[in-house]
Amino acid sequence: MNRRTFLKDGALGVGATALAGVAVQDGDVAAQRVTRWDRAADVVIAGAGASGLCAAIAARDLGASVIVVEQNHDIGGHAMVSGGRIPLGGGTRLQKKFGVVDSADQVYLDHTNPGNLELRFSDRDLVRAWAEENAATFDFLLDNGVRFDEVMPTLVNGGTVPRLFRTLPYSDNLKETINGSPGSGLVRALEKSARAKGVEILLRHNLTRIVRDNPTSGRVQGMTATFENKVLNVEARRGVIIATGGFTSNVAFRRMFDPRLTEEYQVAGEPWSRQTADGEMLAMAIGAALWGTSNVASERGRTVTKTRHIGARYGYENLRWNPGSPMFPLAGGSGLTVRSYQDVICVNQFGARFWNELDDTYGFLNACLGRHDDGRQNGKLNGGGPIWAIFDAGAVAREKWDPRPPNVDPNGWFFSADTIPELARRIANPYQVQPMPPRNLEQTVGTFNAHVDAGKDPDFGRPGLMFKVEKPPFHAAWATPILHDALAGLRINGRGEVLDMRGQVIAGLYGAGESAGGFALHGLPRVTVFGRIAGREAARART
Amino acid sequence: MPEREAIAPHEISLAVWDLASPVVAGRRATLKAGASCPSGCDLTGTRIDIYDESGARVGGGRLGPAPWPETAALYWAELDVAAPEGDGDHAWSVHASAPETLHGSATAVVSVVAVSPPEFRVTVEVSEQGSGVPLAGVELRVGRFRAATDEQGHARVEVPGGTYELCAWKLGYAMLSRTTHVAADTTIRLEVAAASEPDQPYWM
Repeated sequence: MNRRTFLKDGALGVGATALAGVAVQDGDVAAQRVTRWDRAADVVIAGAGASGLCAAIAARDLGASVIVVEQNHDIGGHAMVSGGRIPLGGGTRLQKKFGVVDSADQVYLDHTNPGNLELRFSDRDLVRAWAEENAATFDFLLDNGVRFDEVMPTLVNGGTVPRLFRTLPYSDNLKETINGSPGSGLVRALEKSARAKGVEILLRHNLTRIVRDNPTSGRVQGMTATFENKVLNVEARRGVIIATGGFTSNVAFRRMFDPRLTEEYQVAGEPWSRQTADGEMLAMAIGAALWGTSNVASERGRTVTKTRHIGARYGYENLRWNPGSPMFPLAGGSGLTVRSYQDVICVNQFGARFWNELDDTYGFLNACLGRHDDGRQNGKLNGGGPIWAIFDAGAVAREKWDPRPPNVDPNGWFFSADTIPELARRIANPYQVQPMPPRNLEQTVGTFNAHVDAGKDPDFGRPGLMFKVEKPPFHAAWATPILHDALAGLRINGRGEVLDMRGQVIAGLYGAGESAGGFALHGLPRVTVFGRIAGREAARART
Repeated sequence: MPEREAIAPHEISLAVWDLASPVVAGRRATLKAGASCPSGCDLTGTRIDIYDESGARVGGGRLGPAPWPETAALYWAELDVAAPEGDGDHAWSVHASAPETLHGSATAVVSVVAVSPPEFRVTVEVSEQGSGVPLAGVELRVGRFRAATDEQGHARVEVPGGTYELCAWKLGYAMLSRTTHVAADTTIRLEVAAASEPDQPYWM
């Protein structure tokens, strides 16, 4: 009887701790035991987003049986509502079609350029493995039915060769595409292909445990998920792949990397899907390490972003919620798209300006996340609290806004009033922990208007002051920065295997997508390639 | 006799707008002032008084019978005021007092820039860089003076002689600024460049 059979048969008269000689609490060991598997497959994947679906197909293509568990009621994850931008190179079929000459070496060189401020903290072992699989992965997407907008690709990410192609929205049916985004063309096509090839997808299943021989040693045996309060134990004969999508929605987890990222910061991709860090935390519970953690606070990329669509809860620049989306009742509003911050002033929860609103750098974001109090330490100690864009009827006319639902969400994220003091009194939001003092806001607006008269902003150096905030009615719109990328995650190697804190492979555990760390590349090119790698390697694993 | 319950007055507040800035020292100017009650009360007839820094009344009037468009209940009036005699930065205090006791009073402070009488006309002609197409709706600053271009891309500003920072901006275009010296009527031609727009639409 080998160890796995021993465990599987439930013959656990002796604690696993004693067997393995690992000093852990007995309670932990008891919790680790699985005496009966409800389901089994060669490869079991947590997460049916872009990464998990690529992994599922890649594993299935090698003959492995595959079960995917997904927390959401539908597949797709954040990729469903993404822009579908997939800059992969190395000589893809579409690059060749447009006469673009590229190589894996050039992909590697471009993404390891020490002058690239966004990517230079990446693990070059991972970048090398990724570069080698660029072209094959792009062609894999084509082979699995993903359709691209076939126009000459463009340069992105500091690259020297045109690589950016975008997927086409899957259909014009919002029930299918969720928000009409090009990313739907990626994940719906992959879903169709995966299902046709025999991948089983279990929706509304929450990953609750990764089962390993011993709490911090041995091989990973499978996972536990819950569905409608029922526990499902799923055995993975060859491997478990964590493709759960990152941690950005988990306040406690994201604050490990940047303590300023407190609860008021909303997340791009929500309310469609949440990045809850389940995969990372459960893998860490069996010994997995994190990797590339400095990328979260490198002040490059899109960890924290300036809100572009104000007056609604979710204002990420490239995701404007469509009132026809089935998710719109939860999104609450599309937001007013700001073409120029020249038309607003931004104030904190005390009604004070704090920075040059025209600044699009991390300088502005750091100011938002900085200490905001009333001079008597009455503010939050961590996090900057809500940021409100204040503007008048003149701004509405210049920007051609219609400040009414469904463009704005008056349920806590947008307010209007006849006067500035009245506006301050109306602001009520779960994160506005104390009323905004009307006198403060009136004084702030009066001071700003005097600066406009003078043509200079001595407080924050905002250039070219053009417009006062003076013409009624007045508006306050939620403009707090919104979070996007999880640029750190589980430590993986070039084969997608998860490593522990000693740098040893955790046999049978793989990671991909935003829940894998070490490569600070935004978006789909990273998650598709490593999803495919993890699926392939898990399917090939020897047990 | 039963004790009468005290009723807290409704707290009204003010908005002041459309004071053409800068004003010419010693001349008349106009502004709009409005008052609003959070309970939506009719504030028709509310008295508005405008005072300068010394406490001298420089203008005022009474609010009219209709709320300002798109507001809930902002009763307003266009008021005539006397600009300060000397140039420089000033602050006016705008005071509202309702004719009855239900409403309290309110005060707002508004900044006022007074300048010497203009001497020269500056004509600014703005076109789009590359295409040469005249641009309407370009916001201009010549020092503290402001104007916007018309359909022909032209704007006229009358200023005293001096050196000014000239600034031009339109939504969708990069901000342009330069220093200019005005000693006679003059025409300045500007070309502004389109600002880069996001390379993808906002997915909906």
